[in-house]
Amino acid sequence: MGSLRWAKQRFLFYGLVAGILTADAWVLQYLLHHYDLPASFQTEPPPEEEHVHLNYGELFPPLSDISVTGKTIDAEFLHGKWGVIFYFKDRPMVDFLSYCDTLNRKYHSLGLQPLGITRRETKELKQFLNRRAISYPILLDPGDRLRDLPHLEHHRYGFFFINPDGMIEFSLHRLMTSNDLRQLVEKYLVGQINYDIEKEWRLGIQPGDTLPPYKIIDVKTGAALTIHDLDVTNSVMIFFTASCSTCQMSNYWEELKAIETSSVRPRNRFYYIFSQNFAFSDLIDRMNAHHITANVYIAEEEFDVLESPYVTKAPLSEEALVLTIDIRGRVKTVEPLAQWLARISKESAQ
Amino acid sequence: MKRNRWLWAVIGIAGLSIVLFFLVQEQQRPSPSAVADTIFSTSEETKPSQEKETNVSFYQEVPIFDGFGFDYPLYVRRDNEGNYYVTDQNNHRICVFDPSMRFKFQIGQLGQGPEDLSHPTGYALDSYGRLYIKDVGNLRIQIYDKTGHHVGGFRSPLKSPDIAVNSQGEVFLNHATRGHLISVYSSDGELLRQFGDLMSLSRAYPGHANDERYRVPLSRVVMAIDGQDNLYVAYVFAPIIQKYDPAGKLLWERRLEGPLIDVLTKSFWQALEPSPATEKYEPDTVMNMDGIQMAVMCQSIAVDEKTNRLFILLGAADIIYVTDDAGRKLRLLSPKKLRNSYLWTLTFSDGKLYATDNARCYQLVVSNSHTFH
Repeated sequence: MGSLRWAKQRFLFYGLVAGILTADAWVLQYLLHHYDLPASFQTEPPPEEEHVHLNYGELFPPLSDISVTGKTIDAEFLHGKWGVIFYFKDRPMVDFLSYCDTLNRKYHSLGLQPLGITRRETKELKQFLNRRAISYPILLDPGDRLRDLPHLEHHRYGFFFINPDGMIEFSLHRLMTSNDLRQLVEKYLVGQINYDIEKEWRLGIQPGDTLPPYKIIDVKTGAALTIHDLDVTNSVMIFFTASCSTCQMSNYWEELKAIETSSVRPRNRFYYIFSQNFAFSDLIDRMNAHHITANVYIAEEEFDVLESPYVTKAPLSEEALVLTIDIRGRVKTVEPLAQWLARISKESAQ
Repeated sequence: MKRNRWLWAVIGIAGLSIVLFFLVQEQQRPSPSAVADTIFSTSEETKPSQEKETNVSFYQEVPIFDGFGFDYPLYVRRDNEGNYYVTDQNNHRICVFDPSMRFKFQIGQLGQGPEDLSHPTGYALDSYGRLYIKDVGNLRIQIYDKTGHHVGGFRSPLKSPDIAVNSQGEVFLNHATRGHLISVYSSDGELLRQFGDLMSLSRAYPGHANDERYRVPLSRVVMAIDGQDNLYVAYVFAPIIQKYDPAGKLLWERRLEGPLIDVLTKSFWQALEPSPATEKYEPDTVMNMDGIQMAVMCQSIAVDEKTNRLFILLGAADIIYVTDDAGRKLRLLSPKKLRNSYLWTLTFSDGKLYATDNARCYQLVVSNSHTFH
């Protein structure tokens, strides 16, 4: 009897607690739903006024006597040049870095001089720099001395386009787009902006580049290699860059047949490099079944600098990129597979 | 041991009741399914209980200036001489075409110099053919004559989703942070007058308690001016349109209505108060204009200067809400085929409707009325 009363009391007590908790939850939710949060919880609206501390028409501070991680940037570095100075705090703008490099290779002779500044060398940046020989310096600025010159203290990104007299022609304290950079360079250095979207500008690797040391596996032997382990001189490298989820070599059978029977085939060393999206077993089976004689590899990482317009939103047959390599091991031409096949077919007919 | 069992049982019941409470709440939320599909679907899958719009016409998008290579075109308008103007936003210029749609010249190019543009997002034409361009990247209004020569401008660091100009060359901007809906500036940037009350949450969505956080975001409007200098505004994030006379007096205010607006209203709340428990909501257009993410109700507004009919591009599936000159609903215009990209701007010029998406410009050709049953 006593234990029943005890149970009833406990039941009532804990039921009351549960009821209070539930009611609290209801009230709290109602309040959150219908009333203002306390001021301290509210997010401040972003300021409408922009604060670019160094603006158009101002003199960019001289870079003289600034030594960062062993490299000294002196006043002469940008003297008489069209300077593209960009700052990123920690997250590298890989596409922009790559695009800037492409622009520099094209317009350096007209006086273009990019200069990157970053606070620290992240893994992503290191990986990018290892793969691609950038034609301009990227300075590490752990003490923020370079960052503070143009007053980018509160910004993650900064961009300045400077004329040969050191005056700022364009400044931003956020990410600059590649397309806008191209337009600025063309406007000031070429004198005319090209408004047609050019495929070449979207292409990472360019003639004259060396191939990045992508990690690959030899499909025949299973050996783990990098592209630098291959003898690529005077070769044709076909990168099957497709990003499909279940890619198969047979998707490219017509193209492969055309390559294997082409007139250039006997004269060149051929490498087929398939992206990670292909299955190892499929490649072995098809290679044996169709007597593919070229060297076949499968990538172990993304073909990031081979990013091209041909990879995205293109018919499957175009999701392959042909790089011809010259006798020095440098890229001679870069073409989508269909275009390259058409060209060699035309050349052999002539 | 026995006491612990009771304790856990009660905690369990309490927890369960809380979970049930939230589940009931979620059930009351609108379904995040595509707004227009539900309204316009003619298939048998349409829920029989679903209220449908009954006065709907179709339009077809006929591409114009095709192959020109715009990079985010905005606003197709015509001047008194029949020339076409299009903002080519990511190419930082306004493109001018002759009445035969041949390219004549461009106004502006990327830069921060006195005559340059950076991400122009809108423009207005006055009766003299002068262009008033919202040079957003450079935080200013730029003014060019009809030959493309820069003739002035003024600094305008405050946000305004749209720009309008009356026949006097006065510039109307939606500078809500100044405390009024509309701020009117002279062509050299002097603030002439302000009018219009800011929108509140309880006024925009009756039944909801007011919330000061939303006052400025809810007061974002798109604008159109008719031949008599009356100003029409459509609220970007509320189903409301208004007409002001040239002096800034409110002539009427109308609430957009109908089943589609009801669905859009539910979408608005879904975007404003997303819940991880619900399916991820993906409305057609969500803007983060003032640090708050909200689903767009009215994307763009255009006025037929002859009839004063209004065309309001809604923030869903490219549907256009048409009203008479007093803002009363006439019908809806729906695209013949749903497309992958969405229309961003709508203009009415020379008796024709024009629109743009992120790559192309269109003339909208409306077919005969068709009613769904």
